[in-house]
Amino acid sequence: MTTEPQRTPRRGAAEPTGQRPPTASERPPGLRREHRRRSAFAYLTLSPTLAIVGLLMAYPLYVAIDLSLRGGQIADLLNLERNPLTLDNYGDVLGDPGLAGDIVRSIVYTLGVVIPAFAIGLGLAVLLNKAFPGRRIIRPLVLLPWAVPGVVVSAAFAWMFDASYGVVNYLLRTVGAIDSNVAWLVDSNTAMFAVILPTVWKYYPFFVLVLLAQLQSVPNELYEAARVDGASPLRQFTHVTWPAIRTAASLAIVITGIGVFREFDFIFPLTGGGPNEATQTLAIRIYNEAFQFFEMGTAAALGIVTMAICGVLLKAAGRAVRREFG
Amino acid sequence: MLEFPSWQADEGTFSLWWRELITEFERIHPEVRVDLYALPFDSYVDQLTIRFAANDRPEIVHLPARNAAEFAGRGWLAPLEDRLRSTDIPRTWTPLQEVMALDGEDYGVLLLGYGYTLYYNQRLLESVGAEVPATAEEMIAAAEAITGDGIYGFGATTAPNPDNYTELAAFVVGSGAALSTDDGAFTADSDAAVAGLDLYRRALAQAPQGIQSQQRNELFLTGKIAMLLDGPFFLNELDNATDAVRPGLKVARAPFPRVPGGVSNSIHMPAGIDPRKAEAAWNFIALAATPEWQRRYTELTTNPAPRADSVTARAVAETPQLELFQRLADEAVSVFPGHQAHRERFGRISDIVSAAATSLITTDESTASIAARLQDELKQAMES
Repeated sequence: MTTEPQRTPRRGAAEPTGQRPPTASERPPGLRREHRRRSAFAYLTLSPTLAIVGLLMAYPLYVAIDLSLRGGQIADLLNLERNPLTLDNYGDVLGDPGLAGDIVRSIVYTLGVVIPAFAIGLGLAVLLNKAFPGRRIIRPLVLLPWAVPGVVVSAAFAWMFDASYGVVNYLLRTVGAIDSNVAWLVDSNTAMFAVILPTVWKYYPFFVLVLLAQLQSVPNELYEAARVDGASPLRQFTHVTWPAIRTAASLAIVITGIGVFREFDFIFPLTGGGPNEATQTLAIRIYNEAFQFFEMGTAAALGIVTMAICGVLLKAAGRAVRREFG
Repeated sequence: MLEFPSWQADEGTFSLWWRELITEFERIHPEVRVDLYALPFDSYVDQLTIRFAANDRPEIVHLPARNAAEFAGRGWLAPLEDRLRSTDIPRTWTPLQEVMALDGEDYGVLLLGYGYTLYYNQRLLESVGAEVPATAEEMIAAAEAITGDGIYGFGATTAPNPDNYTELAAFVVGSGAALSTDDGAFTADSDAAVAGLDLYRRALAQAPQGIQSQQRNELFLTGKIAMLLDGPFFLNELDNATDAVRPGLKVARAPFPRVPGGVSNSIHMPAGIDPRKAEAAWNFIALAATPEWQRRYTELTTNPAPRADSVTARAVAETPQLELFQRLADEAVSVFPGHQAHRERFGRISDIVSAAATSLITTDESTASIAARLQDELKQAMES
């Protein structure tokens, strides 16, 4: 005798009631008409938004794809049909031995920013979730970097990292960590670190904001119960805090990761992708192809490749988040 | 209305000249208005590239001359050959006007060609008992003696930047070598070029590391850099020096057997605009090129205008350095590629040379090895 395997309902899933909503064809005619009328009204009210989204997103995307499929030097974006349709740009991009390096550097930069920014954000969120004197003053200060434009942050860090007069070298020399000045931004060994640091400084407040908002929603009784049960601060974190913020943390990591992967504002003013391509990520490479070398088609193809990589990352991250939601 | 974006629209003395010229042009042509407005230099070429690509072209096109061939090669600029033939520009202009030619046709009028000048801080040279250097070796020896305690013997762009190309090429060309020949062969790994690269490397070893040109200027004007090489347009910057430093800042011929020269900026007409507007734009360019306005250019900007005999006695009385600037401009050998294909792909060539400059500045790799790699990469770039 076989038995139907019992499925455990996923967390968060609605309990089965034994009833399902009627399909469109099962509805009485009057209800069907009403449903159609409501749907039409819904689309009507949505149409301005859809039109704006279509103009702002779909059209530029169409132009970018079209541009990436046109051969030759493209001198007129409004007359792309002058250039023949071809996959040459993709062939050039995917056959370029430098592309792997650009992708690796983009990933190194992304991980180099997201991991420390998340760690700092989490630490500060946990700290700011506790009551202590001066918390009201410190909270806005912690979030301040998020309000500063990226280019301004870059300019400030460019001076801090200045090889001759920068405060970073001064402090390191003062504590005896270095004997002579380090040219942070023009040395291939240190340039990536020098562009990661300001990006971390800019992005960590976002994690603080998201995680702190999530922590505020954790009932204090849970912590009290854990303390009564004799849980150490670490166990309280792993068994109460982390489960409560895990979903928000996953989403914040995904959103930040994709933002950082395409980041331009920090790298370009600081190093322009140099020295010798040491900080040339995909975003910088696209810029250089388009505006330094006038290779519009190649730049567009690289942009589409970057979008595809972001899409793959988003898909993988989405799966992880869905697992969290259940 | 003639639209005229320019990074010089709010640039001190150049702005004065443009505005005077526009006033005169509008007086002669009351039916035409010229709309001069400023765009930042750092993003100027990018912004113009986007506008041309989108077929939104200003009627008067002002360009950094190094980018002119790239714009012309894409069909964005109108050929001016026929119009120029009806003027005396071909006979009276600096030989550097040749960089405006593509496929035997001129696509613009050069507004400033110059020879590199040595700017030096006399007090810092005297502090180590050095004379004004007449050779690159003397300059490097003086720089080595000066460097220390936060003072640097030489100043240059030591961070990755398009200026790396011009500064590196100035040493190579000044030494009598070249990165490429007019027939399209690259010579970056020749013995003479390697010697020039080595001079560049040794001079920049005495410069603050990781700085852009703006920081270099600031350090020179505050007395922390003893010597630098630049065009005549840097002279106006000396007014911004501190009171204690200003009297000691002087100019001299660049310490090379050959004067390395550069082209600064040029004026053009876009291709495919309304014929009436094209005519008005040409009238504007023609007015700018007249002897009267070329002399005014020299007087106002303290830069030698491209038209011969534009340096007047009055201008020299006010700015004695003009005589030297004019001599250097007349002697100058361009640091930019002469071959058309190289000029059309200057962006990529500049990028490769900038990477080599970074290697020379920041690594211990031998100069010969860096030169060999530079040679290979330049060849590959033109073959791709």
